[in-house]
Amino acid sequence: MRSSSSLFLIVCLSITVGLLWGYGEFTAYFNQGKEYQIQVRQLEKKLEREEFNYALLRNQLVDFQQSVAVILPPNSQIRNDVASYELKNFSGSLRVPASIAQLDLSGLFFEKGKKFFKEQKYEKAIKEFRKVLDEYPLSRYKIESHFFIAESYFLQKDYKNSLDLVDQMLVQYPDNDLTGFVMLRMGQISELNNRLEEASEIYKTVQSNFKSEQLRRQAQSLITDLQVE
Amino acid sequence: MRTFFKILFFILSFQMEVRVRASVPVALPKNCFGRMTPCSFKVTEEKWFYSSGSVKLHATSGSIFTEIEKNKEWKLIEGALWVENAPSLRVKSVTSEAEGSSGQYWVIAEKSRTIYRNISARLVITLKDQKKVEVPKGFEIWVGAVNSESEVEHGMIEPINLKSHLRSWGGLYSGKKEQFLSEVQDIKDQWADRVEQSGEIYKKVTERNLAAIEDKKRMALEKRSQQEQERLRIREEFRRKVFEY
Repeated sequence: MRSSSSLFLIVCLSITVGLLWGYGEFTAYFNQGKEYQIQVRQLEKKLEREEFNYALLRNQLVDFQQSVAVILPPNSQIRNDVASYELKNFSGSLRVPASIAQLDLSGLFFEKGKKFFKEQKYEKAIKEFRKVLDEYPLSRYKIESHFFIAESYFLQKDYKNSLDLVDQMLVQYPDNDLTGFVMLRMGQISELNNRLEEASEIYKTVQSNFKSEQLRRQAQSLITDLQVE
Repeated sequence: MRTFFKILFFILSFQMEVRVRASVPVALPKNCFGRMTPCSFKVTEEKWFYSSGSVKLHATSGSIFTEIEKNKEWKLIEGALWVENAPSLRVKSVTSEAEGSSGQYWVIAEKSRTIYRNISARLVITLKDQKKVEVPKGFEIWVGAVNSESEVEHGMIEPINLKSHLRSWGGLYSGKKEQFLSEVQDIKDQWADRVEQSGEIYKKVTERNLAAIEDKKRMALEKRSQQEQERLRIREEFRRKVFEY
């Protein structure tokens, strides 16, 4: 009796062990992704370590740069001659860029925009004029850039955007002649939308508020055309 | 039957795959933190807290530090450090260092500048060009890099934006919610007159700048008058030599 129960126990245990081993083998065979997951985790750890080392080295380099930059003579004391050329180059490469005034390239972008405008490539023209406004907000071409953008939108028949620019010019440069010219465009847009009385009011406003002869003559001519219609 | 189950569990336990993820902080030299200085390490926990003697520090996850001298000198490389209490600790960055008396302050390393935020300490920032700036309680200042005049660029002292600060503070605070709210209220009360204080600060800075400009003008005038006198003297000398001899 005892021997038969022991035998039974042994058989059960063997079957159990066999099942477990078989399960393990099947899992390993069908789930090969597990190895890759382990590899990925190891690589992630390695990457974390490399990023950490890089951050430390970078910090050491910047620290050294700044230590050297602080002991160099100020830019205003470095002479503008051949002998100081290398020193100026060296100090320029170490210092924080924002402390030097930017080169004003707004003229270049403005001329490019005008060229595109004359060639009737209005989209490109708008892009160049926008560069002037965004990158050089204190440029002397600011008002003209606004004007040309409004004109470009008008000539492309994008009246909504044109009116947005007109609004901006009215707020920012109410006494500038170019604002008067874009107001005439505003009047023309009103005419196209059959709002003739509104258009007439706009032309009269331009005529009475601006001193430029050319502008007043144009406004008068538009009023006359409106009356004829 | 009992024996059978015992043996079965014994065998089953060897089938289970148990993996323990060891959270070893990334450090250089390896495993140096708390054991030797200098030691650079990266914070990998969500809320990191360090306490040793009178020094109590918190840091955000991903922050990188170098402990240069135990409890005396730390360097912040990346991230943010909340100094809850560290009377004799110096916290350095690339172009400046902070030393605060007992009280709280924050040091935040951004891409191209470091922000020092004083909560309740007496905080003095020493810049790399040896200039010192004292940041009053409830104010912060940013410090940048060296500019073309060999001076360390820095901003004006300005009041702390409590709303954005609370987000960072709440992320690291480990106490109870009621305690946090009570501390926030205390700070709001203490900082109630920051607007007037900032007005005073800006007034002093403006007056100082104006005085410096006046000084420069006066010195330029003096120099010009000295040069003019020298020119007259030389002309007189020349006239005497030519016409009297």
